[in-house]
Amino acid sequence: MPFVIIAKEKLGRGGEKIRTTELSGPTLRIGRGTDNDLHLDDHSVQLHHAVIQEEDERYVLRDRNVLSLTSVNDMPVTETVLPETGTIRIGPYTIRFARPTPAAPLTIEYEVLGEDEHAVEAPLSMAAPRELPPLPPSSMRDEKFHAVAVYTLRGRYLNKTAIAVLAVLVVWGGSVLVYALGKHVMFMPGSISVKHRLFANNCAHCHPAWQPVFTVVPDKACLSCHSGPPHFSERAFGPAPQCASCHVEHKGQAALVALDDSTCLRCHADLKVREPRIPITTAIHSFMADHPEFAISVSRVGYPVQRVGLNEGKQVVDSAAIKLNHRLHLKPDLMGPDGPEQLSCASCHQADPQGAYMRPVKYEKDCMRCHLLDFDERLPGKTVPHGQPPEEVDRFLRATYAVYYLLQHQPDLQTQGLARRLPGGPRPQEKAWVSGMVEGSERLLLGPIGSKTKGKCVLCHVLDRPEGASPVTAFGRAKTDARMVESRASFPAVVKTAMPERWLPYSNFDHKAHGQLKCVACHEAAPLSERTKDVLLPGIASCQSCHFESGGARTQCLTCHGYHDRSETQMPGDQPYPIEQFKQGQNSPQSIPVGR
Amino acid sequence: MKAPNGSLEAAKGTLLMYGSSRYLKGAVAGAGALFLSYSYYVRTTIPSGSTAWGLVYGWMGLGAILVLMFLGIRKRWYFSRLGTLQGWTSAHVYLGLLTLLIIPMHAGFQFGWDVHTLAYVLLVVVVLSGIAGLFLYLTVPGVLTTHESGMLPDKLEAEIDQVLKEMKQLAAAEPLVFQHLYEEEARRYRELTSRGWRILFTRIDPSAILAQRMHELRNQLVDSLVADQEGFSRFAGLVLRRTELEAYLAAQMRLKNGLQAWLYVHVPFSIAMMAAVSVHLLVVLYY
Repeated sequence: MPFVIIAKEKLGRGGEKIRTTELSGPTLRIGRGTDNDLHLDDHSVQLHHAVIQEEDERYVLRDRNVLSLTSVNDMPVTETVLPETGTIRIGPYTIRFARPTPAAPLTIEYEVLGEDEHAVEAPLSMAAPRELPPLPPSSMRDEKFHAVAVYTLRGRYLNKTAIAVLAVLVVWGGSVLVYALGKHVMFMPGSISVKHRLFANNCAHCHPAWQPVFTVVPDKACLSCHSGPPHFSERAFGPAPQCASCHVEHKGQAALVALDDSTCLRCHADLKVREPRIPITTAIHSFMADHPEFAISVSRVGYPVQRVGLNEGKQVVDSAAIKLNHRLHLKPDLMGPDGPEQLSCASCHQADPQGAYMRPVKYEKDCMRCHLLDFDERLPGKTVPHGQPPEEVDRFLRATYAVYYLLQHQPDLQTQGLARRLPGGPRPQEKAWVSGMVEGSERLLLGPIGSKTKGKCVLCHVLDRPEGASPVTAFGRAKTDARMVESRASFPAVVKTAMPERWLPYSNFDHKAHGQLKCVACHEAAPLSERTKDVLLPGIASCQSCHFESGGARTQCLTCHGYHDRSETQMPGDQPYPIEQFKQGQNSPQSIPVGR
Repeated sequence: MKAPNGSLEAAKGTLLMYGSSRYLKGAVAGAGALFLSYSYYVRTTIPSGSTAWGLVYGWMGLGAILVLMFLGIRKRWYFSRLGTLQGWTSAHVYLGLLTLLIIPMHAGFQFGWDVHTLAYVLLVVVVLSGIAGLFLYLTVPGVLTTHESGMLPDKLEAEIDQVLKEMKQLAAAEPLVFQHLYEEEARRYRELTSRGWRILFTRIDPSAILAQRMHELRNQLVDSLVADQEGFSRFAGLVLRRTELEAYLAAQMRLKNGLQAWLYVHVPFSIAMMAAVSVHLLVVLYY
């Protein structure tokens, strides 16, 4: 039991109440707070003012506050070992302590102060140690302090109105400044494409002022620099859409050129056209959903050109006037000029330098190696010219045989000399010989297909023979010279082959891009085709096996189609400008004559 | 869920869940409708402010902003019968959040270094400050009511006044040194300049302030005569009490000021945003 606390409380009329408390713990807490062992109720005492602790049979007083208002025997202390007896002063309290023997508990005695005793006590007798100046009389006046006002949000200039006015001035003033400095790019709604960046600070270069909502940049602004080939406009009902309605600027480079299907579908989802079946369908929404089968143009005598879908069976006809048997050509061990060989697609079909399309098949390049137009075994290596009308072939043969005759009869001619034939005299021998040779050769070339040399022209070409001409004497020529001259006009005509260079002229295709595939992967029917009229193009299903939405290769309209009819492409801008003038916008719409 | 009456929870509930959460539901439905329409829109067109959909979003955004700004008028319009102010504030919160969605949809989520994006950035600042304000409204009043002093600022001010009066009484009776001490205390008050903003950005720790003041007083105590010490301790007790009360007051005012401070961003920036929107409209309608 280290501590005994004796609290004395004065009662009225000199009475006194004494309360004794015994503490068993080693620590005695002193302070204003009610949780202290020694509770001293006065403002000048701190909540937890000090502690006295028993340590090795000694009692140590520790001031727990930074501010020490504690003194032991009138000496201010922060930490001290208490002597046997003495007084501790804390605020208005005087606490006497005593410890008669080291083994005895520390006895503490104090007086509980009454209400009035907290008030001001009599002035202390001692004068201030320092020389203090007298205070002005006003110092002790009654004052009202406005503590709340001090801590309220207030500032002379820092109020909402001032900030708002400043911010508005910054926004408007900044806008005017930016405009004045010519940085008009700051007013652009969205980034401009790389190609138009040169004019980014000159809005008026393309934009006329005060355009109604929904209007786009007028076409003449675009056409001042760009050629814009029309889009089959002669067939459309309404006017063609404006350039800027599809080529959206201020949405980045991609948006300007890589157009979305939606731009096409605006019209093609429900197309108004003048001519039926061109294009073959007027309502299309996507490649997978309702794109029609690919269509080719078929021309028949007496009918207008018609678009025929590849799925329209017998109507799908290759009307080219050329005879070709694909199956035969792809036969193994086909006899070539140097023996048996195996032809492939690429033996005849080769891509153009860009690799996109196949070059048209030409005799000299693709056929001649095997199909030589030789006509007489006595003249090895001599071939009739290809691509010439029969009249020319006739002339060529005539000249060739005449030279041959001369060379054969050179010794005779040298000895006899060239005797001039008298009018009406007998026909010279060599002319008759040449005519005979020519006729024989022509019979071989144009006659029915037979041996190796027979019917070489008609093997591939179709002849338009004059009426009444004998099928055997192909040229319909009579024996007499007079009739021969007359019959010159009746040479058969070779029907124009009319092989289409592009089957699907309204779409684009790149063979090179599809080079990983075998030819027959798409042109499935080619190895089995025996007739020219077979159209060997792959249908839409073939494309759709790779090109499909969500996961497949691209299916956008512009993957295959182009909007502009490039067949009529003209050079852009027929008003060329020097660089500086161009940059300064000399070619702006304002400087372009209207109606261009 | 019906909020309990008369409690702070009820007040919170009223703001966010006003009228059986009608504005919350409306905002969720609105956001859903916006997402659906936008997903259709991006699939059919390149989104931009000049397309038909873009214009619809644009006018919607402008309408929403005007409705939001009307709260400033409505809350000063005491006799208005146009809905309750709580309802307006609740709608204000949700509509404000929706604008963060509507405006980018209007622009096709395209931003740049231009006056148009400036308007949106200002809108974002306004909405974010609004969210901060909402957060303060939901948290600060709770902290205030459970404040350790248990007194509101006005009561604290009266209490400080009382302590100063006691100090003055004490000082009038004591030697000149105490009068000087009182004068010093009183001068602290007389010379206090407005510090409403300053306290916002400083941490107020009443116990640290008290410890500092104690330290100062202790130095003075050591200098004083032993005979003065008892009187000094009484005086110092009052000084500390006063310091403690003031620290409590500052801490409370800091919270109260926080409730106001966000409006210094929210309101002026909303006006500045309207200025930027006016430039935006001028530019897009001119070209």
